[in-house]
Amino acid sequence: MTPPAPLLRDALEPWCAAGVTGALRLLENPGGTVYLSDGRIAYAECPAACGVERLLTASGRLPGEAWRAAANVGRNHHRIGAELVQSGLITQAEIEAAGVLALYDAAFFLFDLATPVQFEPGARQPVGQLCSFELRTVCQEVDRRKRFLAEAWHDPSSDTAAVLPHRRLRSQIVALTALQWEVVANADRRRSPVDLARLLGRDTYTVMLEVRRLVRAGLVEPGRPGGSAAAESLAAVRARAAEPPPVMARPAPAEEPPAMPARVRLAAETADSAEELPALPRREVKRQPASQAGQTAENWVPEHVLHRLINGIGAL
Amino acid sequence: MLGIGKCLDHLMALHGVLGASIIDYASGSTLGAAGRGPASHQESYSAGVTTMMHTTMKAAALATVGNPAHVEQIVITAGNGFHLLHPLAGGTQTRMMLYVWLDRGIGNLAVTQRRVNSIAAQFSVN
Repeated sequence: MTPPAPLLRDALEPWCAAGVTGALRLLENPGGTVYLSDGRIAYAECPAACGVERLLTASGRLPGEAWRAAANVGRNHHRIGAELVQSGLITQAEIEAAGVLALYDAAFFLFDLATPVQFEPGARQPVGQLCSFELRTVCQEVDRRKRFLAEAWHDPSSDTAAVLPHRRLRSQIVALTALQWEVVANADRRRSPVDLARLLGRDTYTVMLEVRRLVRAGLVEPGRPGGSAAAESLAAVRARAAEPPPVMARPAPAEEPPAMPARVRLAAETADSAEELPALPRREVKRQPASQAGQTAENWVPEHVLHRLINGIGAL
Repeated sequence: MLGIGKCLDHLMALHGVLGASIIDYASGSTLGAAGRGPASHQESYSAGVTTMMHTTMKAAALATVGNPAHVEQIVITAGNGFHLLHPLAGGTQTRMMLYVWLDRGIGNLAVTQRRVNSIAAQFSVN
């Protein structure tokens, strides 16, 4: 029997442990890429998330032409960011911060997906090296974000549905954060949080978080699902993930470190163990990293995960 | 030109600073951390700091004294030291802050505040 594809965060383990540089690309919906640099997570992108380009240009921080000019010069040398810093339009700290936000935003959507992946050795992100994190750090941040989002408001339907601000309010006074104001001001009764994030140049996670808070405050309600292709594909992936019992997608659920018990539950609630009928391509992909890491195809997941977990528990 | 790591190094070099971090308070994510406190209990610290920020901003929005729409720095004097929260000014994209934990016995609050100001000013070019 073919085991189900591992979650992306588990699929990344052997690559990170082997200290490789390259890109892990998702082959199925919603698509996305995680870039590794010497075994550390250097960048990630996903259609639902906002990349560095959108964070900087759509927010008005940089004119679009400035980005395109830097991209023309720097794309092939993986140094768009360095070009921008050199031209004095932006500081190193700003571009690094944008890189971290873009990485976390994409990781939030990608890490609990169970889709086939393909590794491309040596591939690097065109924007250049802006930051790098241990896999464990990124996983912790993804888990924290999921928890934070669930605490803000339990219902995920507003994440991918059109944002409908209430036309009348029962309360007498309303206090909004600047981002909440931007969300309300730009909600045209069709745009979902994914679309609003792209429009505003904010990271999608933050917009989803603010929309959930607005829903809880009774200022906004989720309308029809969809709005854009990215939002629809995200909604479809989540719906698919909700169908099978999601625990089976975890390779070693019993070995969960005590610090993150919420992980399985949250994976079940929000994302993303996309289960599909054809199982063959997954098996292929699974074998690929194993041979790279120099282990047997049959047992690399449990051994490896167990090893990492024991180290992790020791470190705690 | 300061990168995030250099920026944190400068903050940590100030006399009496126990820990420093750069936090995106819209999402509650720590973008970089150094020293004690935020680095060892990163999650609970940045969550606490983020809540503090939101609460103060909300209170400031409804206050009527001065120019409450612009909060330059929040200082919390606590038993375990001074906590400085400095939102980074700059275009519409900015929702980050510097957080500095200063020892009450060794640190000089006024000097640290001015240094944090100047480091924050170098963070962004506008």
